[in-house]
Amino acid sequence: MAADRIDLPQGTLDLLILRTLALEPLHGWAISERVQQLSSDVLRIQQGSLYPALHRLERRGWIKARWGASENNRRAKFYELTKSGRRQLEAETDAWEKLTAAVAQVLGAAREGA
Amino acid sequence: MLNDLLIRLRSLFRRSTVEAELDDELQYHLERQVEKYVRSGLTREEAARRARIEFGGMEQVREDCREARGVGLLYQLLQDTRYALRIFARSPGFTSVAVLTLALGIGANTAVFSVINAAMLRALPVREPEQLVQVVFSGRRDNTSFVGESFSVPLFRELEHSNQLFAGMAALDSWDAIETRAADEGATTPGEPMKGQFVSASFFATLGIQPVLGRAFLPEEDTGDGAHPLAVISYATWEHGYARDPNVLGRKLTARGVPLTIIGVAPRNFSGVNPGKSFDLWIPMTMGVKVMGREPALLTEFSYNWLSLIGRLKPGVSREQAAERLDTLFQALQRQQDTSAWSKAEQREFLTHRMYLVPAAQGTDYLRKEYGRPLTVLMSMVALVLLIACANAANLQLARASTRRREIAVRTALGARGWRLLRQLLTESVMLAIAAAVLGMLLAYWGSRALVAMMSITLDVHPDPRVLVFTTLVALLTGIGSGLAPAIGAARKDQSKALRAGPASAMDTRTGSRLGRALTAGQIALSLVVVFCATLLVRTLRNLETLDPGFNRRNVLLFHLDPGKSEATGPELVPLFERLMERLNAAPGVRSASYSFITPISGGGWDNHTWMEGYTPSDGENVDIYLNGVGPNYFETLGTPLLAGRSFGPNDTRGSGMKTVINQTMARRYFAGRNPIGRHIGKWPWAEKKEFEIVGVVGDAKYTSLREEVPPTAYLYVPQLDPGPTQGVNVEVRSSLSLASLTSEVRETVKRFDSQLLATDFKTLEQQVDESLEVERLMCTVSTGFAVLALLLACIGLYGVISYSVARRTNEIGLRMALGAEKRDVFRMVIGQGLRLAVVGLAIGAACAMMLARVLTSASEMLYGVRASDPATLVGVSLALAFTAVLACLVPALRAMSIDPMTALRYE
Repeated sequence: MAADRIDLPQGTLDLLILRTLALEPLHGWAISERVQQLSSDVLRIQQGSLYPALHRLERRGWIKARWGASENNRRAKFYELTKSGRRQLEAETDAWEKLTAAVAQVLGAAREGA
Repeated sequence: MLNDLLIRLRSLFRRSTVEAELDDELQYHLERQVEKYVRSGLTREEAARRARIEFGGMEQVREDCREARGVGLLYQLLQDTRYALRIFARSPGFTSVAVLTLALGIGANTAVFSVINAAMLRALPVREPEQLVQVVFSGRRDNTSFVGESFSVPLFRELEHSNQLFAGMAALDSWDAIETRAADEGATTPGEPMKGQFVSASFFATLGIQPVLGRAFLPEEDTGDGAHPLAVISYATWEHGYARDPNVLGRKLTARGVPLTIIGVAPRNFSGVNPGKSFDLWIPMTMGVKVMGREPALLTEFSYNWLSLIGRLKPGVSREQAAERLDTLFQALQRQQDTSAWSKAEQREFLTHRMYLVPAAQGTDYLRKEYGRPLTVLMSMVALVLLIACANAANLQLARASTRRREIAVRTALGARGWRLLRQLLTESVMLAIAAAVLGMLLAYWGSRALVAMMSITLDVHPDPRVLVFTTLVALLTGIGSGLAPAIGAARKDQSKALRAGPASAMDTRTGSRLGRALTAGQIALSLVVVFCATLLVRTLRNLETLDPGFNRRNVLLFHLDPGKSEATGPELVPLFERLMERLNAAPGVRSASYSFITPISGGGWDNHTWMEGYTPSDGENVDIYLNGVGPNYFETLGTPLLAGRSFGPNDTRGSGMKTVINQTMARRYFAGRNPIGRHIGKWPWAEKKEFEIVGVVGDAKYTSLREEVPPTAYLYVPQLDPGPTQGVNVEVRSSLSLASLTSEVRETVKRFDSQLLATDFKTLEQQVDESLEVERLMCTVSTGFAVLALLLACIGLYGVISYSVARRTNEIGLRMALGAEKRDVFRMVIGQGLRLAVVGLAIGAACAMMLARVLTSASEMLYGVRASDPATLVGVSLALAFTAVLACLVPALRAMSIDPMTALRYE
């Protein structure tokens, strides 16, 4: 396991899944691969939490699932973003940016004050 | 929202599909991961191993996904339930004992609660019962407060007509039911006595009750003495007496000989507003004088208090508001009364009267007063029995938990978390409790009817929603209560040890058995409390049954003799009755016959403030004397000894000056040290004082009830009294004949003597006395039942713990015997172990019982002739329990004795 791996803060997993699915429908394994790849191996999703998260998002109606053929032509469960999921992604992205900006500002101010 | 629901429903109802899909999904993920590792150069085995480690517990993920879909809990419940059913099926012995134990506890609780519910909690089947209030007043007499519920007709009229706070007010008589009979041939049960009640015309309107047939009484039917001979019959009467004949209106009934016309039929389920009493018909109260043969003043005078008042508050008016206004009105009315002729004490008492209102949604509170406290005591006792049953079930589960330790260890190793295990074990015990509750409901159905039969009241105890909620709650609490401790113990243990050890290991059972021993000691403590209470109640009944009431209750037949249609009235009745007594005395088998106004322990009484020659009451003292009018040979017939002077005789006539015979208490209290004979008393302090001359003193005899101290009593001679026995008399016949033959003999004699006379209400004096002990007998029987149950459960508990410990210690005992221990020593060891537990339990129980004694003392009217803290009872009960404990240990001790050392040692 990579030493520089970061544990995901509460709530970011949903955001990452939604963001990944915004590009194209993917199955579970591909989602975790994609996140790992996009974050240059810093972020790794625990399988133990990925699938429960997917089921939860599906229940909320932000993503929907269908069975399809995978790249290597096997049956796999693909998840795609719904309309309300897209809205949720925008809202959450917005909130995330505000949060990180504010946190950065505080951290910056604290550093200056020190 | 809809999406959410659809997913949940699909997950629930297409469970296998959804689960298969999840498996596929996770499997796919795993395969892709393995492929990835293979591509990066690992061997297939290594890749698979790595992927699986990374993935973590597959079952765990599945569970989390279920939870994410919102069906985790439900799914687990379903799973747990099925698992529990399998477990139960595998150990039917354990299951049936646990269910039966809990069913007894829950059933007994439900039975008592059903009766409490029906007697005290259930609302009347009338419109908006919560608006109903009963009018009562409180006052102080001789420094004790009392509550009165009876009011006069004129007072009712005043309240009815000048109050803006009530939507309606109804009056109903507070007497025993009026005996009525169907008068025409159409009734299928002609002559069957029916119970009637006098009510105001506003009765049905106030309650919001619409007759299903005919009409209710009209306001104008509330006037005129005896002008409206009408009746509204109950649905049950219509159904059973008239086969639901639609032409029943206009048919005739007779109430004590007075013809009444049926004008309406009350709706189904309505049997009056007095829970415990059920009425068959209602009669306008203005018929009271005519039907009861009473003086007209019954309807016009403020001093004739015979009505209970029920009011319906207007919406938005609080009970306090209404009570305040009502009391103001009441006080004004009181002030208008002329009390100048009264004694100072009476006037003072009169001024303390305050009117107030009590909720009457459940009807008048006669039953609550009579049975409220007894039922509360029984409910508390039965709750203790349930606790004992819970401890038993807990003990059973504890014993089983140790045999299931390996199973639980395996489940933990496979990833079950503590909380999840706890939930599963709790599900099992709650399921046991629910099964027990179902069985318990059946027991309660039978038990509550038996209780009501013992109370000899009419009460519908069918289980209603409140009883169902009660039983469900009790079952849930029982399940959790009996399962929690064993479940926590099982779920918390270090499971790796259990896995390593063999199934027969004696290791690590200390905790479990310590809890078990504590539970057993607790059971014994609780059962001591229950048995102690029951013993007090049993002794109370025995004391009352065996006390000397001052008369001989055996071989006396009582009946009521009514002048009926006889032409004789007032004093003319006396010679008639006297000639009848002569006939009865001459009848074969009759030793003696007499009559009186009041028979002993009938509950009826006649008391007066009395003036006594030579006695000066202290300021504020009410000299209250109980009176009774008696005929010739009364003391002889009842077996009350004459102590001084003489009894009444043929020379005591209306012209000879009125005489009285007083009892010993009266002689002692008011004529202390002086000879009362020849002195005088007067029935009213202000009237002619030397009214009666004392000619004799008789022994003390109980008057209204066995419990009450014998009151100072003065017996008056009926042949000398005015207006004489207009309302009939009660006849006492002492005879050695059997009840049945004597009854027909007496009936015949009366009929042959004068066919106009009515002889009714035949019963023996012994029956009458027994009836007065109804509550005591109920308490005695039911609490004995509970005590036996408690003892039995505690014994089963003790037996279980000791035999379990013997089974576990087989090895050790074998070793001891191999090393030279005698069978006797082993026996003594096992019995000693049980006895130690019992002694700890008994000590705790005795402490609890002593504390309880304080509570019971405050409720001391429950007990008679025995103190709640009676040490002899406590010691006796403790010894009996210790003996029972030894009995419970006997079987395991014998089993321990018969252990063969060789077999036991090889057993490991």
